[in-house]
Amino acid sequence: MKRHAPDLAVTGLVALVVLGPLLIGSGFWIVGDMVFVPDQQWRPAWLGLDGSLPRAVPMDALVSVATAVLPGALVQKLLLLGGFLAGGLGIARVVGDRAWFARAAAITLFCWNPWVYERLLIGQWAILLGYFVLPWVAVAARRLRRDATDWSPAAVALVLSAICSPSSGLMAVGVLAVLGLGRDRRAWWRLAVMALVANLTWLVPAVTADSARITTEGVFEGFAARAESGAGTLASLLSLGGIWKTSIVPGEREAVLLVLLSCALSVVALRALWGSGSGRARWLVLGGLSLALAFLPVIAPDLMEAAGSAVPQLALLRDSHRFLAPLGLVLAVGMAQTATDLRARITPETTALWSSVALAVIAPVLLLPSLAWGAAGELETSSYPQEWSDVAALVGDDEATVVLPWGSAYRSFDWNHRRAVLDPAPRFLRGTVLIDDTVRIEVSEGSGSETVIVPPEDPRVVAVGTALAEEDPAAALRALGVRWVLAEQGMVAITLPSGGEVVHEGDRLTLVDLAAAGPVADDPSVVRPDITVRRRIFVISGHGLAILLLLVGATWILRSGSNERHTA
Amino acid sequence: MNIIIATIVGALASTTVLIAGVNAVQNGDSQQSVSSEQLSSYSDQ
Repeated sequence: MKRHAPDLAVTGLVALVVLGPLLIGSGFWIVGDMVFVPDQQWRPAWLGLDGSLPRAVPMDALVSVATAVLPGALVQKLLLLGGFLAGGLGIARVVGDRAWFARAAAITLFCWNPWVYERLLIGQWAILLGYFVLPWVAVAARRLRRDATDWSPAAVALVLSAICSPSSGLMAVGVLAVLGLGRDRRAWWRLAVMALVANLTWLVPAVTADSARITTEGVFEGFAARAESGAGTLASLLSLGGIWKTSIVPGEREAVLLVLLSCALSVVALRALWGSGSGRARWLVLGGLSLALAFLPVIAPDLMEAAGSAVPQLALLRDSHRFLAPLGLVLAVGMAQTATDLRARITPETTALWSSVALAVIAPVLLLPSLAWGAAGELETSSYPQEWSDVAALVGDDEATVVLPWGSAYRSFDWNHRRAVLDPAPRFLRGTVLIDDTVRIEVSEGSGSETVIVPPEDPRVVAVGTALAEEDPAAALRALGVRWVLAEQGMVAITLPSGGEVVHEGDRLTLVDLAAAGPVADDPSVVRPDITVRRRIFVISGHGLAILLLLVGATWILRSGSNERHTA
Repeated sequence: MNIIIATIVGALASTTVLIAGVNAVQNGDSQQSVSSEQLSSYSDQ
């Protein structure tokens, strides 16, 4: 325990400096895709039962269950804090045979870099959690390499990664394969089976997503990594930046010199890794594969498009920047080696080299100060106005609600500092909640740019869009089975469909009951999820098998007590 | 030797702090809010 105290101190300090405003304040961080509500309603989509693409399955289900017991704001705090602690302590364990300052260098680089900043600011907290699980995947891989029968940590790490997001699950399989597999073919088969079972949580809903209209046209180019500065895309990626969403890029990443200094840090880490002992090839291969995967849509978007046309489910992989996560792991290990090498060069005549060791520890922070204290104030906490709870109390479990304004799934509420955020209504309200999830992306085209429109994946959303364009939208919505229209005010002008009773009219929300002016069609297949028995059996079985693997793996670890014996 | 090392490391660190600090402060308010008109194309910003 005493040995881990510095790791806990450094990790805790990093987590506190990054998450400080959230941890000490009340309310939520609501930004981009990060939407937590006080009590997240349960819906079949959280398990992937509704036929839509499983982007947050089953994490949304877990959050829904957690918020039934704890306040949503506390759940958010615990998840983010837990993620940082798991990541920092995990990477410290990966380089556990090094001195404390080397472990500290690994912790700061792993927890404080552009990838973490950009994923936090885009609101992809579950993918961030998946990133923080990666060191534990590496630890499990090392154990698997030493003993091909020591499969239980790998099983647990794989399931936890897959729970975070599909891409996290895939990355965990890649990390485990590169770092953990040897010549023992039985281990290959064992890993293949574990990887398949662990990822059934999202694989089964993805394969059975027959109601979703998946398009890959233009998405790989639109979501490809981008250059943040004049140093170019490759320099951005090598220094763990380059997200497609340029609006969230911190100022430091737009400065060529800082990006080049960050690249230099990466090169130093990779160079140190190259000069380290056995196992270096695996780490370097992992870093190379990660970089190549992130760079592929930049240099070969047509190839990805062609692959996506043949296998539409590849759309899940469209945001290639996220696949840089394993490179973060590799660079952190390299940074620990760098600090170790610098220490080895210290002699009585060169004691000032201790300052370079210190620089290795704090360099990631110096290069990206914007990550401190809620992204330098970008992430202020917010609380939902009482109106949201009032409206939620009026909508029933078996009813459908259409949320306006139509045309975007993102909102900029005045109570949330006008920050763009995914509409919270589907998490706040009971029943079926339909929002327009059309995505528009600007893609550079020579000297100009072109807007790529990714249409809604859900045919029910398309049907509602058509109904809203009808001469009598209220009647058209009733014919689809929609009872409620919720208008979120204060952003763009909203024309409410006439032919309904306004049952709530506040400063920010208006709720219209269409049933007051006519009968609502009782046809659940139009706007409500069509959950066939077959899909229910498949999806639940997938979740069940993954949970079983997790429980068996965890039980095996506890039973063998092997956690302590294999940590060296 | 120690003076040379300390000078190099100090210069590197102070340059980084200066440039990063200036850029962080200059861009501090650039992404705070999104106008309502931009919401439909929020994803491309």
